[in-house]
Amino acid sequence: MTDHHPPGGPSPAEPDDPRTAARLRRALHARADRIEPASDGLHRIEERLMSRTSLTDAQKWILGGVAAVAGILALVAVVLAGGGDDDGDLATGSSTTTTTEEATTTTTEATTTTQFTQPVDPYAVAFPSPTDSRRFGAPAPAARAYATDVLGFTELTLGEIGRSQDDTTEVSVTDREGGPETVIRLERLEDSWFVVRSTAPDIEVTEPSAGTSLATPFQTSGRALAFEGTVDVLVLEQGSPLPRGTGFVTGSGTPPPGPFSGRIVYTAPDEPVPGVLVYRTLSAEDGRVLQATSFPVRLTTEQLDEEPEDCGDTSDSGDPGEATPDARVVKVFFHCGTDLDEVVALRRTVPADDPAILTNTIGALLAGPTEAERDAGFTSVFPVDAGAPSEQLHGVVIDGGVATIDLSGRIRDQLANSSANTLTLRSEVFRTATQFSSVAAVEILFDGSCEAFAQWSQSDSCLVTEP
Amino acid sequence: MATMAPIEQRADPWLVELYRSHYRDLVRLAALLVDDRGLAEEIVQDAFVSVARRRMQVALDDEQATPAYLRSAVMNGARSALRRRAVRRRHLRSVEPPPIAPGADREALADAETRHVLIALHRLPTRQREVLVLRYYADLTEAEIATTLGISAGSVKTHAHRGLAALAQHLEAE
Repeated sequence: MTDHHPPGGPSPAEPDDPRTAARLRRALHARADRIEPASDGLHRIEERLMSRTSLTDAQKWILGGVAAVAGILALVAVVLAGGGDDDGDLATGSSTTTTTEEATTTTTEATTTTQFTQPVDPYAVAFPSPTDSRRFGAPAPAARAYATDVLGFTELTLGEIGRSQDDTTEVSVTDREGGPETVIRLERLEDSWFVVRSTAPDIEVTEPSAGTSLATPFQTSGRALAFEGTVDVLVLEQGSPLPRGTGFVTGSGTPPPGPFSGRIVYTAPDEPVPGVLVYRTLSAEDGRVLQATSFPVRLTTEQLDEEPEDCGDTSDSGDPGEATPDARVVKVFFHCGTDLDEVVALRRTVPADDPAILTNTIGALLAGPTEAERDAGFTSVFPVDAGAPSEQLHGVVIDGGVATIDLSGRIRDQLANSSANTLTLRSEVFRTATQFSSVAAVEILFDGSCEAFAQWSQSDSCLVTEP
Repeated sequence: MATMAPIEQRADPWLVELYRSHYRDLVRLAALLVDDRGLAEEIVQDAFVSVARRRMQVALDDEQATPAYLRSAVMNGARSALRRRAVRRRHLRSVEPPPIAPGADREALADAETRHVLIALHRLPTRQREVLVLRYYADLTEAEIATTLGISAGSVKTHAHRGLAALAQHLEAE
């Protein structure tokens, strides 16, 4: 990567500050161009690939129609359950396979990459894409490939194959011993196995449902339990590794699973395509995928209005009402979509009795965005289901430029202390309070305690000096 | 079938070529985001493992798709790494972490101007930083950045604009 553009030189759509852009470009190159990776990169990649290749080989044999398929599968499961990718065991084991009932059902259709003429409805399955040539003669390899390629599991153990009926089955997948079991449901269609959905114990999606036609952005809701409440959402096009969209929603960080709702944006395709929605949670320790709920959807070309990140022209949004001698128009700050980095202003009219203007404004903030505003993409931690807004605010004092805002501890009790929640609450309160020139910083208390807020927000202080 | 071929015989020319063409650039890109060469290498290796595994299973030989996929995987990997780092920091309850990690290559930061700009860059929100690095280091177009990050081209424009403005502000303030 060399410096294609001379510093300060023209570039298409260069933003309005070429000088800063040039400084940035120079600094990035000065820093990065000196970095030389260690020489063992390829070797490391191959080493790590090798521990996987055995499994892929096993899959190839299966797909190639080697007899006694289930025996190998059973061994794969055993080897993995034993916690290792031990090539030797697997290879040796494959020569001493046993035949089980499963084998008789899986060996008959031994076509691999030959073309497949029977139509399978691409909107009814999540994987593999009926339009490409990849086919699975047995459910376990299909489940494994789905878990790694689509759901993003890196380490996995296949569990029991439930044998509910001849043409439907379930395979469980776990990332680690004792970890949550994601259940992958498969159906046999036209003589090969397709994944129709996966279900994670801690992620329940109520909206949208499987098979729905989606437009971007779309609304999603359900219940989830996850580290910091965070559930990653991926919008995938069937058969493509690149997500068309990513986002996240926040459920509960502590049991039981709590409700989530949010908007997810994706890049609309040129024509409707089969897609897959993946909701997954990651491990706090190593970031690996722990569990995933997923199902097929239809991604339409439709794009709804403006991007939610913009949430319209915010300076004019909201219901300003009328500024009268008794009323004053103020701003309350909420978020837009799932972007935690930006807050946007909406107007509110509050009583203008001067000493209480900040109290009234914070009260308006606690009431949250209206339904119409939520539909337009505004999001917030408010309103919190913790009683009437007036009961959620104990009081506000301004002293020496610092506004001390004493919130009800019930707000804390209702909100998981996920980083998304704490960041959202801090920045919304801060920006709303500092619209007044008399306020430069904010102290947030819960039931009068600075320590209580600091603890909940996992910071050193309850004093907030920047958004 | 009972024995595995040694690694050399299985070395995939496709992978070797992909490594030669992209590995170093991607490590540099990742290093700008996580500020730690070792970690950057791990992130890029993860991306290669993932793309190679996919190739074994699906036809992923579109010349455009592969580098784009690698880049996406690297950005995601860097973001997860930063998130994990942030979580660790919060648990340690340390005050205002230094913007440049101790693992950074000190000599590369010798230049005061460079350091100044990079510190300001690391104060920006993640998304803005990503967009700026892809734009001003990797020289990607808005459309390419949008694909890489899985966001709309409009958002790319917004993030680039706001990011650069915020960067200028940080630089002026110091």
